[in-house]
Amino acid sequence: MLRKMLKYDIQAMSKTFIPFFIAILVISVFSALSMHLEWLIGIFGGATILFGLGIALFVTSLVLIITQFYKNVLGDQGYLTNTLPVSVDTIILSKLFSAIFWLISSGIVAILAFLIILMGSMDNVGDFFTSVAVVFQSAFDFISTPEYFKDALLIILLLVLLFIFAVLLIANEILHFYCAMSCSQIYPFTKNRIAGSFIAYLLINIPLSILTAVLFSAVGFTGTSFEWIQNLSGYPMMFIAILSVSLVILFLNILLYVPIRYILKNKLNLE
Amino acid sequence: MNQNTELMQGGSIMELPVLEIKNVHKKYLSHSVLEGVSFSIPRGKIVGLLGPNGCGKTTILKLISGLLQLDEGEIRINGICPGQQTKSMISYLPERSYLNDWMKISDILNLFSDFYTDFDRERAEQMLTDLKISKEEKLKTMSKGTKEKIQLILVMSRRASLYLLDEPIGGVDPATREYILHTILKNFDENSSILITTHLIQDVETIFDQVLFLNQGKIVIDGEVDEIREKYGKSIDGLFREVFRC
Repeated sequence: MLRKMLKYDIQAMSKTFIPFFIAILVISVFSALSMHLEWLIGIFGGATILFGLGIALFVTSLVLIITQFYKNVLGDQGYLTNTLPVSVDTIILSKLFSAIFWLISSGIVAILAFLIILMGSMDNVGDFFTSVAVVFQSAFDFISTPEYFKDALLIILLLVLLFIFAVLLIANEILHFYCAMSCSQIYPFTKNRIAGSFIAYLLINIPLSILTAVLFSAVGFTGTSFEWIQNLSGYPMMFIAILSVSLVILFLNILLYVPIRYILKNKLNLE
Repeated sequence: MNQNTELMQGGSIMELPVLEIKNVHKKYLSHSVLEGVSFSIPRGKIVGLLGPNGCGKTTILKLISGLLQLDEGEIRINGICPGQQTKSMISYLPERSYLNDWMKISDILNLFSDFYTDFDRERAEQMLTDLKISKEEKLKTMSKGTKEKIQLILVMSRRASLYLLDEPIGGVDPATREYILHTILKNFDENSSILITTHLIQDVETIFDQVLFLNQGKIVIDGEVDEIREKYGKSIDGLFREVFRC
């Protein structure tokens, strides 16, 4: 059921994200061409539009993630969503995963836009592809050299861990929004649900920030208290550091998820 | 899962009433909306839940459909308490439009086919054709009335055990009203039951088998329509006007 739900949630947001992505990529190509042809007006215009699009994409992503949950789960559409034969977890996770999916896609589009502009800044477009080929070849050579193989694997593992950490961090902010909106189902926030959600966001932020600070300090303190940790160097130290902060964020995410689940299951009160 | 419940109860699901409500209480803060509501609906009945505005009709439907949690009492749909399992047994038409504006009609048909195994897509498509509504039309561009009809088509195209229709004829023109009643009757089968809330009794009283009068959070009249007419010597509409006189 999660797969089916995810399909509709991703589709719902695609109507806004895809035109944005296309616009960003088209303007990137335009900017790259302007750079390549050294057309100053084009370079300036393209950069301005791209900057504007970047800001608009950021704001739209934020608004869309919030409204998608609010309208689809707590608004009128909630009459359908909450009567579908699926669990509350499916509903929350589907919204969360689709939001993460579109945020990661936005990141990928931003990287692509950057690469396109980088391509345009080069005198010869062929140089760009040669540089990319050199980078890939070097990476491949590094992995295929037996003495570096272990290091290469560790770097890949580190990158995967960093990616997971980034996803958990994104999920944390989204769940913070969801939790605040879910509070709008409970008195006194029901008096004005939208204002109530904003107030709930700020109220949740206080203990959340304190707890985050305390947990990160605890992680830091633990790191400096044990000699064996201090004696670690290079990759192991980095692994432990990233893993620890990831676990802290995961713990905070669970803390935010539990009230959302409880409210949607037991305190739902659609208008 | 269904089978297990049946076995536990030592009988077939068909022998159970479709809906059983016992001593249900519901409060919104200090305001008590339902105060010990009890009734049951056997299979194959069209039941009218009647009462003035704000008497708790929608609250009852929300409790049955699992959109609200009760404070006290018991609700059973085919012998099962409201939850994920009963959501596949109930086809609920809320008063509000729950359609996603970004969707085309074909998208919402796909959604119903994906989530409800009892959704009869052919039946829904036939009804859309009857109304000359294209599947490629976007919901965003449709009038409120058309959206209401589509929602009713979706709800009535399911082969559910219990249909909950919240004010299905409120705020629609007489022609649409007739279409809605026709759709309800045409798609109703003897193994299911329909619970309809309305305050426009005159238009629908002919289709009811049983009526429930809800007043100040309590069921004040519950019975077969013919028996009530005979007992009080009045039409249901006439009786309603008398019971709920301001």
